[in-house]
Amino acid sequence: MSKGQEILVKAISLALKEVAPGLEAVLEAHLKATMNKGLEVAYENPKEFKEAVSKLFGEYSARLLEMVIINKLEGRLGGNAEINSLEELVEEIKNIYGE
Amino acid sequence: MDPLELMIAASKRIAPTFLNYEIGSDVESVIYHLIKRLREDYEEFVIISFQDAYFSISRYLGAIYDDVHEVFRGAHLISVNPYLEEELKPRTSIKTKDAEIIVGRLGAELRTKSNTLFLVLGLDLYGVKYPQELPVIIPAIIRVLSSGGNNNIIISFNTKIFPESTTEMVNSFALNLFKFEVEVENSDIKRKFSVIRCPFVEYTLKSWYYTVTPKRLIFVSGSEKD
Repeated sequence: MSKGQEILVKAISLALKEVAPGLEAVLEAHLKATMNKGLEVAYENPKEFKEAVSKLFGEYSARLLEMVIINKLEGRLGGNAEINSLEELVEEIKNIYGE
Repeated sequence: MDPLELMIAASKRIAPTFLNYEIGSDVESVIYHLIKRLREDYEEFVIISFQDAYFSISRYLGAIYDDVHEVFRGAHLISVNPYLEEELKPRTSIKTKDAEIIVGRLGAELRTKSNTLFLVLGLDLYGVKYPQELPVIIPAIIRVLSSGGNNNIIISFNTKIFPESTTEMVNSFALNLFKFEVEVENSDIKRKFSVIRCPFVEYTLKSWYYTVTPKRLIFVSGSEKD
């Protein structure tokens, strides 16, 4: 797992523990069953990850989770641009770590 | 009284009504059923959507229910900080993080409205992004929307993502407070509805498990999980 991927997966895991305790295992099982992957798919394909979360929890909850994840990392990344989506967040992490 | 009927009756009696939901509780469907039943009882229907919340909800509901466009048709949509929601052509777009400016704009547009059904979505999304603005906007928005007569105000809000102080503030302003939780047992999700506060005091702290079907919400008493 790359450094950027590791950081994002940790942030997702933390966000899930905070906002939806108990559902992390459910989401991981869903990702495994539908994509044969774990949370790392958020880094590889953020759009696909968001679609999977939406299917499981609804689009509004998926948006909420997305914002909590962004909130967890946005301050730490130190960029000036406002991040509005998981796709932009992944892009920013990739820029920082040169991945 | 059936829990959906209870929410409808309580929201008509006093406002605001907070739907305190957890991720996975399918609160979108609850909102759909509430609006479908309440809308015809009010002259106007206003949606105040923060951070694209209405866009997300309507897209999700559109995939489940055939008549979503009918239920939400003609709503007066005010979008606060829209990103994707512009495509729904809101009547008003407010683009600022400043709570006082947002409420000022809402007040200028809505203060005189009465006999209106208000649906406020995405305050929690806004609060995640601008946490320091939340203690200002919640009381102010309730004050503005409550100023007309016979207004019904429904606000969905996830308190779990905020500190205890925010939860206490939300709870102190909610005259009707309904909770939508998720229980996980061996990767099996069960949804639970509880009445925390409402004018029908005999229902206070009563709970039901519920299932969402395309036609209706099915509630069973809290003691029966299946």
